Amino acid sequence: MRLIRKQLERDGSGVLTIVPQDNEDIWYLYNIVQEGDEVTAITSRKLANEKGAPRVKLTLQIKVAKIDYDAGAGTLRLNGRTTNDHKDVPLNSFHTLQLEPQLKCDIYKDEWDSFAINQLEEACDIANRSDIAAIVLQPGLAHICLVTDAMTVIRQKIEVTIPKKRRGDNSGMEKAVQKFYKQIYSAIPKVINLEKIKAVLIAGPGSGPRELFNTIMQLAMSEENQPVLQARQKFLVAHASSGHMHSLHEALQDKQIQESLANTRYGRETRVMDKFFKSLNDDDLKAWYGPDEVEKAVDLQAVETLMLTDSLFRSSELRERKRYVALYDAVRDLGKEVLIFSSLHQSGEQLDSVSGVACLLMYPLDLDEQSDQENEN
Amino acid sequence: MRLDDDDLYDYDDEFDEDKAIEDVISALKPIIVSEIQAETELDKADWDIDLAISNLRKKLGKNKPSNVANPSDSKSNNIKAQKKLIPPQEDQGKGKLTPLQVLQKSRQEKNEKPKLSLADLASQRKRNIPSLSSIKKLKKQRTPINDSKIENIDSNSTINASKAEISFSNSWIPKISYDLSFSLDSFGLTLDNLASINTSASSLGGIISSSTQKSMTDTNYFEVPKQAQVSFGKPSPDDVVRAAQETAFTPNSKGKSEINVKQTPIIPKKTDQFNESKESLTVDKSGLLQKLQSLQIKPSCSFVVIGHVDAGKSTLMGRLLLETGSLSPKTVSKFERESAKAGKSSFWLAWALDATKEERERGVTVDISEAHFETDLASFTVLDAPGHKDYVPNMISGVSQADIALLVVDSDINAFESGFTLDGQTKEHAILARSLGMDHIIVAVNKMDTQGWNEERYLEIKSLLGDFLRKKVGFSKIEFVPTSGIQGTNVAHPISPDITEANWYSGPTLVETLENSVKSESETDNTFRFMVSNAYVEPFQSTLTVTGRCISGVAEAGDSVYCIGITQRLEIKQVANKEFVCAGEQAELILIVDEQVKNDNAIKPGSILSAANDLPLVKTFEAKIRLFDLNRPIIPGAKLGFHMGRVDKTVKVLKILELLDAKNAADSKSRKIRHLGRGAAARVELELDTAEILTPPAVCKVLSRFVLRLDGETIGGGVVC
Ligand SMILES: Nc1nc2c(ncn2[C@@H]2O[C@H](COP(=O)(O)OP(=O)(O)O)[C@@H](O)[C@H]2O)c(=O)[nH]1
Ligand SMILES: [Mg+2]
Repeated sequence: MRLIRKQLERDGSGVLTIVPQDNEDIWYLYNIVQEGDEVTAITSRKLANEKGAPRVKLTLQIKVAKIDYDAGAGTLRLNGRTTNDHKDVPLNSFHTLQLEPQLKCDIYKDEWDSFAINQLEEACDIANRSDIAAIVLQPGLAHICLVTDAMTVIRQKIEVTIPKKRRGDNSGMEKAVQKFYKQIYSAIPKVINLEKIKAVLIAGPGSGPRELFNTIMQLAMSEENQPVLQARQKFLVAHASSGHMHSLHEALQDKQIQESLANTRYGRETRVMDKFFKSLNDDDLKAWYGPDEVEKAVDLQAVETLMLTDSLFRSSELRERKRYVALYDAVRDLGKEVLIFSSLHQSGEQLDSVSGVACLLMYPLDLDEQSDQENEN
Repeated sequence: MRLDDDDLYDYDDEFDEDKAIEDVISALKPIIVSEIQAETELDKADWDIDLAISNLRKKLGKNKPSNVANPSDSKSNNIKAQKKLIPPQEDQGKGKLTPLQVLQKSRQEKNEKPKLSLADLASQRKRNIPSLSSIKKLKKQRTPINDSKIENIDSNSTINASKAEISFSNSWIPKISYDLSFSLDSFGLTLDNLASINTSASSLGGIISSSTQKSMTDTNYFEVPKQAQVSFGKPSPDDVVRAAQETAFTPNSKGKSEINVKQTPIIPKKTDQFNESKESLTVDKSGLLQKLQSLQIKPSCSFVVIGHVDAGKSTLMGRLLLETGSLSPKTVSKFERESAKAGKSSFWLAWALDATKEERERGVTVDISEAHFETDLASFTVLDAPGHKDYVPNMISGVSQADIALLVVDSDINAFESGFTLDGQTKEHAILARSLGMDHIIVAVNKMDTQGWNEERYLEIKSLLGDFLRKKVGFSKIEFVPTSGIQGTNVAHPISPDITEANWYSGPTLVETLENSVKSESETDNTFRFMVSNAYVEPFQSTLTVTGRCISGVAEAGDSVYCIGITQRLEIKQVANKEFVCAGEQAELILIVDEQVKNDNAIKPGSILSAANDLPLVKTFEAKIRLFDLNRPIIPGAKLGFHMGRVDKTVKVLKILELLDAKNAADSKSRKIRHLGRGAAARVELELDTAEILTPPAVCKVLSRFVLRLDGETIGGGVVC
């Protein structure tokens, strides 16, 4: 994200001018823009309300009433009434702005809370970004996905039936496997930008990933597919126990990948999540989840790391959002770590399904007992 | 699918051996001759077809005397054959020897007379052999076997009957020990032992049994339209088979042409809800019934071979096939030649099962191989499972097709220990088999040749592994057999006295142990259901070939079946190599399908064919799960690998409903359950990524048990509730 102008008042209100760079930035914008914000951007509109009337480009400002995010297309659609005087568009007309990469926009908020600022900073911090493409596969099932700072996106799922081995005649199986590899090969340039990507990870059980890599290179050679041949060094073969998405994080354990992921948001999220699970498994009373439990721990100033998912802040219920912003601020003000998990990553998705809020404590604390005592009081 | 030579052998000579075999078989009709018999005979006759035919006719003629020119000749043959089996003095003094001794004697005799050809053995098999399960059933009904009537049957049968009784007492009475709180027994509940579980407060089994009957109406099971009402008056096909098996042995029912359903015990229907919506098979099965009566059904049994990679599983199975005559010597010599050429000569026997290029090059089994062999007492299906960690999902599908598990362990000091440590597959496989409902395991302590048949080593492994399997994993029946697959020692033949180091062992061979383990099928439902393990599209034909296992019921050509995802019924054109397929058997079915079904790939590994369109597709369901060793606790939202037969999907834990461990259950009443850790047992709500056929165990056990995996580890087992 490129930040062009930042004009914040004492009370936290103010306007930012930004240019989103890629799909990922659109995702960040989705987390940043709330209902009630005012957004200005170039847009197109039919001026006359009749068939075949031309669409004209113009700059409009709206007060956001409805937000629609499309991860696949990488677009964010904001719907609301116009708030600026325009010679052709009367005030309070309904309009939909579509935010997309490279489109400059102004965002006004009554209050830029710490969460919104956090997301903005994350989006602007491109130094540590590391985009990785991964292909996880098992016979007959492959997922081609993109792991970026803020999201894991499945770009393509390939599922075919491969006949099992048959005594004496395996031609059917072998043919089907070759066809399957070829399908993956043809999908790669369509869904991954080999030039931009840091690495292409091929992972799966047994000898499948190695065979796929060999097949890709053979095909690229015979077809003189320069983009693939030039990216040869970026391909990495790793182990994963299946071709399902839940095996992706196994594949990302690969040493080389870990190094390039270490400083990324993804890397931090995974590390903290692993710690959380270990603590839970050891039953050491240091890992807790759920808003009430975490709130209690924050009150007791016992929190070491606070974990929140971005989806919590998208709640249209202002009070809800305020509640989590308060948690965020309280922990940060104590100088402790706060991590906002992307709900588009595996660990964020997991956190989301346990209410989206969790914490690691500095010392063991039985928060259940605490609540029992409270109940008695 | 028998191991056919034409599948394996590239002919270099012009003589068409297949045709010769076919000619022999058709020339001898209506006498039934197996291909192996024909081939062996042809081999002996140096491929002189006429000679082979006349030899065979002489040998087998006694079955159909009318076809034989010289009946007296065949009679003397018959007597000779009997003498080979039973020494005369014992024939008279039956009371002096136990049936087991008689059996052992007769086996020794067999070995001392190597002249007895395979064909002889095969023809002996063809004789009246009552099915084990029919005997068991008779026992269950406590019908006393009337001695005087048994005398009417030829004496061979008597011996076979007593053999059967021995195995009956060995395998039928379940030894259940529920003394350990951390055992997997909670998932091993079969309907038989459900009742006998001691519902003590500390026993998890007790807790589960008390809630097993929970109705399923509160889950979203019934997405399936209700079907026509059942006509319960008609005998279901399975009753027919059962009845036929009984009449095949019960002497006084001879000549009874009609089966009276009322006398056939019908297993109490625990599955009323499902039966209500079930369309009964309206096809008249009387023709099949007659066929069944005229045939002697040999009990069949499938076993899955499991264990750490390189324990010698494939080799041992190759040996079994070779020594039971399912693998012709010619094929074997071909393997020997080719494997030597490939620089893998030590794998020659394994090649019988490792069929793909990858498997042979790497010397590692990747997917389940299936093969068949027969012994005097039973016919077997072997499922050779891959030992490598990456292929555990394939191994799981093998287990779900099998009745018993044969665990092969390498007796070598280092190898045994490495297979037995935590990441070794010996443990994981055993736990998997148990989680999927197996309660009986046979352990082959293999490669004893490398240990010089050291008895202490054998006993050490036996006590270590026995302890683990009984106490930690919860198997109720565990048997040990020392073997050497590569040398063929104690596999199909008792250890030869020449191997003096092994003199200490006097127990049964591997084959005998397997024979003693033949079980009757345990599904309570009689509807024909068939789990597809492989499906092959035949180009340019309107048929589809599927292989798999009949879970319950019976079917023959002409029957029609349903398959989820296909609106019309499919007709079974043919049951390959058989006239019908019944519960517990592996078979290959040829289905008539149209282009659409073929193109849609609607029938695939894991599909269920069913005579009734009553199987529910389920996406969200409740289950009881038991977790093993975990690095990562399970919290709601966790995504895990879900495996059941060939089904390989992702499941998400939606809710943790209650803890089932006695000690934690009380705790969980006052506390919120936040996660499931190591060893936890719980009732949970799960959601599959796409809907799948699942049923509670009362409807179909095979479709109720699953295992959960994460990061390449098996982390738990479960059963749908
Ligand atoms: N000495 C000895 N070697 C054996 C025996 N059985 C198998 N092997 C060898 O062990 C290796 C692995 O055998 P294989 O059957 O492929 O094992 P699997 O991975 O369990 O199927 C091969 O080199 C075999 O020749 C045995 O009984 N004795
Ligand atoms: Mg093998």
